Amino acid sequence: MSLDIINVEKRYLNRASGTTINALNGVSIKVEVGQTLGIVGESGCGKSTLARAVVGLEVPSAGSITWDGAVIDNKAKDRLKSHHSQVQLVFQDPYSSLNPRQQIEDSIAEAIEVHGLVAKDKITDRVTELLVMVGLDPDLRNRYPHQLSGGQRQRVCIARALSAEPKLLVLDEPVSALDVSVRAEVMNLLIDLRKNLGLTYIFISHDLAMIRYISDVIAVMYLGKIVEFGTWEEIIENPVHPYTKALIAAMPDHSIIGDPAMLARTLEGEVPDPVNLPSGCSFHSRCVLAVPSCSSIAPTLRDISNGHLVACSEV
Amino acid sequence: MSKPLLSVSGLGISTVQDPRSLVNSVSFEIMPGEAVGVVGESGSGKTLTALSVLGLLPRGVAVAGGSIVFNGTDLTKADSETMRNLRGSDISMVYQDPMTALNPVMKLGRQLLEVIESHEKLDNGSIARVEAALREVGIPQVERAMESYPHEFSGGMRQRVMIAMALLLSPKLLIADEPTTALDVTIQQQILALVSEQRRKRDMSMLWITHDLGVVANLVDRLIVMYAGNIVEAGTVQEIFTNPQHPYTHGLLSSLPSRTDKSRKRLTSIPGVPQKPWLVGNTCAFAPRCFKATSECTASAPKLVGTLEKSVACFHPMGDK
Repeated sequence: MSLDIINVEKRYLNRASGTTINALNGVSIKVEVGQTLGIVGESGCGKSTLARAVVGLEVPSAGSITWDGAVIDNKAKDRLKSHHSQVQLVFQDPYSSLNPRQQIEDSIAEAIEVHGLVAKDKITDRVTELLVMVGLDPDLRNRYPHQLSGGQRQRVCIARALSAEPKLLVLDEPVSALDVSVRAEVMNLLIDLRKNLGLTYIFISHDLAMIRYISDVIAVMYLGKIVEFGTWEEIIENPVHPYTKALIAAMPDHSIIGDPAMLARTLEGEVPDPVNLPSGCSFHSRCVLAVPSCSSIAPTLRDISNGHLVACSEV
Repeated sequence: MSKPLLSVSGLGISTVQDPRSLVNSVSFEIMPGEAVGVVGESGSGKTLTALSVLGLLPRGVAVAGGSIVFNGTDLTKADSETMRNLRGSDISMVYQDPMTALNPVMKLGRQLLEVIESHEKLDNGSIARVEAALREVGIPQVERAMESYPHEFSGGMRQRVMIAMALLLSPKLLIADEPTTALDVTIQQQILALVSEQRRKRDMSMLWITHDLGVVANLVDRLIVMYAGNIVEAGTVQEIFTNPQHPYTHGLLSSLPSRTDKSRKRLTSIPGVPQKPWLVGNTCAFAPRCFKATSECTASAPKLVGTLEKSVACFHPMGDK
């Protein structure tokens, strides 16, 4: 069983200006069951669009996403329902992703009812079980979201996602909105759940340190494309693409102290506008290795060693 | 040794009605040319401390005690005209969100000229001065930028404009409140490099507020760690990062995933959530979450003791490595 993302493109039409935003420009990736795929990239790289497409909240403009052989698109409603119970999403912001007027118990019970996974009279027990599973006191069941801390709220969101008994959990920046001192607890919870429930994760973040910590394989995205892919050790220890190298160099690092040279290693310029994609390699305008041909020929991912893929003609 | 540029002593901040203490007896100094970082989580009082220096506390919140001495003047006793003269010229600030800090319906050139206008008379050289300031922070096509509105710029470029505005009148002290939190990492790196370069060039003092320990590791000279309205530890960056003494600082540093550890061992987490400052009482604010807490920690509040290089407010510090 696997999640297969094949040549997925996603374009949004801006009706007011008549322009097209190219959010995803041909993404192919395979996630094996039990694996954790980390997706890292800066805002506008398409990582959240990809996450939404995987759970069926966006329909790709081209290409296909299949889970266990079944295509994910919102045309097949029944299939979508069974898919939804297997693939769940946890959002970044646990403040806006819970209904402020709904008690915790009802938020979780609603998901159980929709999928009809538990008999009506057993729902209360199931909610208790889920709350315990994410390390919350079941007595919190009658609280409203505003009565909980950020960390507790994110646990509720995780419990709600788990209520559908998913096999694949898409985690879109799940700890970014949390206070630094509670991030570690939520990360540890995710790692425990992965082991105990045999879950497959897609973990999306702009924080390479968290990606490094949880991922088996890492995909680096830039302007709607994967520019490098490999095992976490390969990507972190042996990055090849100039963008991956710049991203790793720009990560704030608390293990190197008082070295002003740390600030000198910067990447020039900004991410180009996804409305007007650069010709050729989309990174060529900021790249230190760029040669004239980079602005005309778009590189494709090629294998440089044992599944370490890179889209660059100059490495 | 020279006299401190800014000396905050025993500063308390609380709500005006139904007094709730938000910042509790905070003391620190900034030397001329020195960069000091303030690290804390949301609600730790780091932003309020910075705003109080500028006399910009939000409505309903006021200084409840202590002094803020800047260049010989106690700002807690200064009248509004003195404060207005200081703001933007001697002390300036860069905010977290450049979109809300800039006026969305005023051209950038006009906004920058207004900074000069509020402190001195505009003259023929004023426009050239503004253009030079924009050029210095790396804004391309400066003449066009002067005629642009904030929404025409990216977040990184807007933050550069904010920095140009803050540096326009050559302040002695720059206060920065998480100016890179809303930016992407590669853009953050550019902004950090820019600020660092300008600080050295101008020999300017800096107070840098952040929740991200990684950001300040290579940017500031000394660090202040705040928790629930109190300073729990302060010292040189080297000391704080390599030899943290307060269990909170220690816990915070060990809860961050390592960049080098291949085994990816389980993260050390701090149980519980931060306490509300006004609920702390006369105890150590961190005691409910602390693995070293004893009855002594809830009997009275520990005082910050030590030197400029290293001080800690804890009855049971971690001990030297």
